[in-house]
Amino acid sequence: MHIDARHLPDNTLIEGDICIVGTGPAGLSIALQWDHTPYKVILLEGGGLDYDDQVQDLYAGQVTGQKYYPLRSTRLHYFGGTSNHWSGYCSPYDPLDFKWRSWVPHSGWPIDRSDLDPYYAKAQSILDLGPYEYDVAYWQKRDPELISLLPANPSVWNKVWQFSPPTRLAKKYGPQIMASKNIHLYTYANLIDITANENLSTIKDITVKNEAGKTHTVRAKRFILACSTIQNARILLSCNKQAPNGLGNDHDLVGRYFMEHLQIKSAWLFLPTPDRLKLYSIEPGVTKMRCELAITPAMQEKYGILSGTASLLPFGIAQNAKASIDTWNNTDPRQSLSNFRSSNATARHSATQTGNAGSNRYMLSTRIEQAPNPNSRITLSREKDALGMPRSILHWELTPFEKRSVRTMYELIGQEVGRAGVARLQLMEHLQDPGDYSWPEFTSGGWHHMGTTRMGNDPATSVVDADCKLHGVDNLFIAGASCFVTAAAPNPTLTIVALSLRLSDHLKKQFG
Amino acid sequence: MQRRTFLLYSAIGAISMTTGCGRRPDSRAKALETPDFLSHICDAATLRQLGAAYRAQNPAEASPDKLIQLLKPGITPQTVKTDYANGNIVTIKGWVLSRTEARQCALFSLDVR
Repeated sequence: MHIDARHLPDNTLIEGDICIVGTGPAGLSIALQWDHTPYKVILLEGGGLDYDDQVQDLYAGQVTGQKYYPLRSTRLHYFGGTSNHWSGYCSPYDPLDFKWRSWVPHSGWPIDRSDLDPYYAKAQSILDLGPYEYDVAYWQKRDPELISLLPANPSVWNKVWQFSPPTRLAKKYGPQIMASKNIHLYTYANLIDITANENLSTIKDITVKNEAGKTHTVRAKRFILACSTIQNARILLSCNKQAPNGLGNDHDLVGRYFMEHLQIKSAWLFLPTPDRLKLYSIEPGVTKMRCELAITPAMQEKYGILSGTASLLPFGIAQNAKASIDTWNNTDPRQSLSNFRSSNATARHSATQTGNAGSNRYMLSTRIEQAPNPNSRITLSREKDALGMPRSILHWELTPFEKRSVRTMYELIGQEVGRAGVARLQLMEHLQDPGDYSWPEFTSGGWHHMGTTRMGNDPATSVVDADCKLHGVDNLFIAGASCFVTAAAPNPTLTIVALSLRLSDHLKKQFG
Repeated sequence: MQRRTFLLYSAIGAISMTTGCGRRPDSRAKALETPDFLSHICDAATLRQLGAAYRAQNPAEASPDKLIQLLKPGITPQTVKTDYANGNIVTIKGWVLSRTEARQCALFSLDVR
């Protein structure tokens, strides 16, 4: 069932059993689990069913620190959320990514990979991926041309990625949501306030508003914030009428530990003869899986480095490829997407023109986790949006740890391809001086926002518990990458959906 | 992998003769100065640049005699692989090289003709 909140009488009271705020991969994944149940689900979307530039402007914000994309265009504010323009790259986080690592400050999730495995398997289906198989041997058995550059290597392994079509969640699951009898989708319903009881232990209701001037109240037994990493923090921080520092922010943690994936061209790989390296190649829209080179857990520990991977791009494409930070530079997400796709298409077209059946030179590009850093954070601006909500300020801060990790990663890959006698590696200029911790202009992010309401057992060091419940509040839950403790190397969507499905199961148990 | 390795070793002999690194008066140098694998992927000018950079980084190894002394006869692809396996590597102008092949470049870069 779909209701446009602009057309409701002002001050309407909306009531249900569970209220999900946000319809991106997290919110929609949860909502779908509650279809055909006896529970009334209130599903709130701030935007409409299609792109609306006026609503999109609610996401505009300021950026300080490391150069970054315009906040206005990094997420999408309509039904389906950012799944409306995601690229479909999926891989689960590794077991090590969840563990406490002595060499990574603030690492360690309160859950293990095994806690997520059943939900990863289910998420594969939601995102139209293949089987939950991320062992390269599984795929090599089915295609003998998937030859490893470094088989059975102690330092470097092949991390498998699978590719969603990519699934546009609103398009695929929208009809089910609209037809559902117990899921009530309200569009143009932006959360602007949360009201708790006197001791802040229970949420009583939330207030939603739209630019038609309508304000409504939503009451439910359980509330789930699933609005994206920046927006989840922004909402908690701005709901400060009862808690001066913001809801759930007694320990000044909400908004901190903002993490991104650094994406940066890093090295050249030279082969003695041209090779397609099919295992590592990708043809957008066609390839179902590929691998990236990753550093084994033992070597991550030995060298005290972060988790990252290297993707391979043939020189013919790489020489014309522009950095994302240089193409995704428009505040209108439609224009940025167009620039980005056009740039990529031009690079691939020029490679096709020169006949790129195989290459003896590949560009290695890094995707690496950012170390959890309390100074990398979301705060509130004095400037307010059209609905009166303070805008976000992102201070994106990197440290020498990331730079050292990238450099070490390629030194290890260089050593291993040399040992195997299959290639030689040359670091790009920005990695050649071990004492240089600066970042070149083309340093990009993956549009992967994580960590601002981190998960943990201790309220003094985390915002939500292992079940994604806000510490100290018995009925407010957070879904999405804002709960991530560390960023790992893979794109986050698969893990967002898996973690959301786990949260959904937890709530079902609560409802009995 | 086997195919790649086969092609690699089949090509080594031919490529090593095409890098313009012969005709040195010192026969010991001639035998030692060609970094086989690297010769497949770098032209002679690049090898010389790498060699010059290595000598600049390691002035104690900058003379032909010293390099010939360090580069013991009988260098094979396995020698280089062993360097990598043992972590006996250097980074020259961003290239992650085995110490042996870096020294070979250094010797190659010395004009002793």
